[in-house]
Amino acid sequence: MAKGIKRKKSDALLDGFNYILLIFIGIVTLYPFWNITVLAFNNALDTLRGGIYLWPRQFTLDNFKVIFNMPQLSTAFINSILRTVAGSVLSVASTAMLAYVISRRDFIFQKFLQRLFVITMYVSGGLIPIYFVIKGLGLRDNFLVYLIPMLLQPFYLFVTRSYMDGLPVSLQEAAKIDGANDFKIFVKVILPLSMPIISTILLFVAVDQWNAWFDTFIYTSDKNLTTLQFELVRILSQSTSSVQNYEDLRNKTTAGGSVVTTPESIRMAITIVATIPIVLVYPFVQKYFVHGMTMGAVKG
Amino acid sequence: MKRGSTRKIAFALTLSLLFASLAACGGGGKTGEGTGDAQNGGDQPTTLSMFTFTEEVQDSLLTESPVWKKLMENTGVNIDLEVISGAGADEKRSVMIASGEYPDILDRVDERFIDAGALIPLDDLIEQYGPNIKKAWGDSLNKLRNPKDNKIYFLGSPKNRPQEVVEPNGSLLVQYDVLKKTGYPKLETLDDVYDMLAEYTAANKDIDGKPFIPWGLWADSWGYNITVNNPALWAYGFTDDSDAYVDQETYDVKYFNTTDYFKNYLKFLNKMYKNNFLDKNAFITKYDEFMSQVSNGRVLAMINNAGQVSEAEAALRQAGMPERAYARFPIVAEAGIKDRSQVYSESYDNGMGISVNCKDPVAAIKFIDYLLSEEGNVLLNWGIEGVHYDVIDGKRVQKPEVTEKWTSDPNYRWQEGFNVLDWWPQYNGAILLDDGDYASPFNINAIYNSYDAKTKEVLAKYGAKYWGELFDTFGEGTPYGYAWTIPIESGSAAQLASMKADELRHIMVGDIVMSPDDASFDSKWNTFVDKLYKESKIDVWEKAMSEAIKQRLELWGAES
Repeated sequence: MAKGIKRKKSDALLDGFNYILLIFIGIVTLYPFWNITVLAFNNALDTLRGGIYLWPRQFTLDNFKVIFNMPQLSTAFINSILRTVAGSVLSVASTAMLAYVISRRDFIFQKFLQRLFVITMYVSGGLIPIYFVIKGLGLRDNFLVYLIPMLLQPFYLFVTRSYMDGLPVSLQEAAKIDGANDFKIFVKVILPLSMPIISTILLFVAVDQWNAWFDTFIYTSDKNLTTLQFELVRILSQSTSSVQNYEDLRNKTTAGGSVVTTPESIRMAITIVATIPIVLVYPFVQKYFVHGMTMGAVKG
Repeated sequence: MKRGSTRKIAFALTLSLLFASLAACGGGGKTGEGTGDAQNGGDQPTTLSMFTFTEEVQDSLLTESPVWKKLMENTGVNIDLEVISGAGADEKRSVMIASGEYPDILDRVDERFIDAGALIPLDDLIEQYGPNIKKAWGDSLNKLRNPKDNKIYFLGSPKNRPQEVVEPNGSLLVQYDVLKKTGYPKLETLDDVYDMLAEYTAANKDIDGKPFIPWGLWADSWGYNITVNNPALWAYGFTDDSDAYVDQETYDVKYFNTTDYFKNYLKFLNKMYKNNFLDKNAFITKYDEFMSQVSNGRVLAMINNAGQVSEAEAALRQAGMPERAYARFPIVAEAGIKDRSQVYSESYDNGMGISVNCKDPVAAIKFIDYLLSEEGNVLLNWGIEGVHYDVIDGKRVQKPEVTEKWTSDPNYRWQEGFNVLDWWPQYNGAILLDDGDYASPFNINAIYNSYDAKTKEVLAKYGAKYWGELFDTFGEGTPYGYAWTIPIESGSAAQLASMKADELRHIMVGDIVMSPDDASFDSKWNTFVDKLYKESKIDVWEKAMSEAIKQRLELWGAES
């Protein structure tokens, strides 16, 4: 079988070309991240001098020390993990349930509900009305503000629905004949079959939750509710402003070798700290992730 | 297999619900706490919430610091401080204004909060409860009045006393090595600088194989303001009026980039260019490239804000090239012009105010009044006597171990809580208080001790102890303050004109400087000025600025 189709020279050439192209693309996408890592581990003042590409010239952990000196580190970290875990699981659960409902053709409000959700994809209330809603619901300074507003995102809803549309209806009918009610069909038949799309959405929502900081900033003032990303944003603006505030600079001491790090280097270190934990999640869901993307693409 | 995964999902769901409800309870319990303090009697300290828009405040360190605790003790109030971080501050401001949810005290706020009706007028409160405020500000209180209704809404750090400027900011910067190799020349005019650079570059071509850039420019984005626009202001003896050229008799405003002063300064840059003293990419160099040029010791001289190169200087010292750090000099275009680059023109555009929601405005104004008292001022800047400073022969002296940590650890001042809140209503810097001693430990001796050996060597050659000594710091300010502190309404035609003009100068000025001969220089300059009026309609801005300055003068002159 292996010798059934003869490889021509042009095939080999094409393969070779593909390899080179893909390796090139791989490098182009990977290099910026590598460079950020290198800069994060390089002495900040040395970085200023430029010319650092592949390897740190003066290795240091100073940039990370600034970040890990953050006083609310543990609270922030726990909150970020909590909201990511709880938020993504709850969000995926509600998205999947709703997606199943609007994927059922025998549901009379199917069209209406669908349109209702589509509208929210294009029209948004704007920051201030949303703030009043949040405040009216008593979600200010409440951990639920991280979970409830992010429960449902129409885009993920429709992706999930398209996937469920592709599942054979006969499966549901068979389950019904066997005596399963709607909820049982959803849990026992639809959900297991939708694992690829579920894990994909889970990853998306987890990344959204992990990266979110603006809600912490706007809706909470309780220091116990702070999140990692919000604290990182603050460190960044603290370090940037203390340099850029040149009008006040005459009142400050900047001489003497007290500069250990610069906003640019802190930015690099922050990028690493913010990215690594969520990147670590990828290998675990990748199995489903790749599968889910292709299956969804073919059937949707 | 499938059964297992459904179970796992069910488990995860339960777990997350549990998390959520636990967290919700925790959150719910917290919210109730903050409110109960409003009706406290005289014994209990009043709690006042404060938002500050100063993003560099390290509140978690500051509020635990000994000085902060002492401040709370002395004033009998308890300040609940929250910092509004820079990213997203605009949105937060909009939300605050829309919802009317203000804390008791708003710090570092500007006229946008006045326009929104967020602040209460302080006039009566100051009259009744602010003896220290009145004493410190005196006639300068008029300079705080809002042009719209003639009332005072916020207080900043008063600038009405002469300050011995310790560190000049916008100035001529020259590498120590250049000065040394050219025999420490006396630098007075731009021509002196040119001659010095010519002499140095004749013998010294490159550093580490890379050619020197005799005159540094970073004209990209707002670098234009500090390396092209402001240098022209300094060279012709103006204070920092930014884009405005203000006629000192009639107070009519012209766009500074259309004046002959600016044209002559560009002529100087043109001369630099024709002699290869400028980098070819000078007008498109990005910030990090420019910083890399400076931190590799390639830029010999420039006019820039000294603060902009402090990181690069630290990098040079670390790399073992302390002779490539920069000396600061005043510089003028021709002999006879008086440098006023460091002269402070009194004007205020932000400060600390009391919000309309404040539970106890009297406690708030008493708190602010304490900051301006001698005791409060010394506490905030020097720290606690016996801990951070000692009084020796009637003078405050910082403890040596405090000084050491102060200069080596950037977080130290936040941890201890002193000398950090310099925009607050209090004196800071090398200003003399009524007791005849400095308001803050940041004074000539402190700065001199922080210099390295090379710097001290160069200073000695010029007979100075600190760079500020070379400048005239007590010179005459303008009666209207700095023109840049005058707000131009956002979205107005005037603001649009200034934005368009800014775009235009970024495009055209580089081209003018890089003219091969005088004829093309003149024709390009004429086109530039022409376009500023015809395309950018900069005259609209000029008119608005003139009116605003005259209005401010009228206001300030009202009672002084």
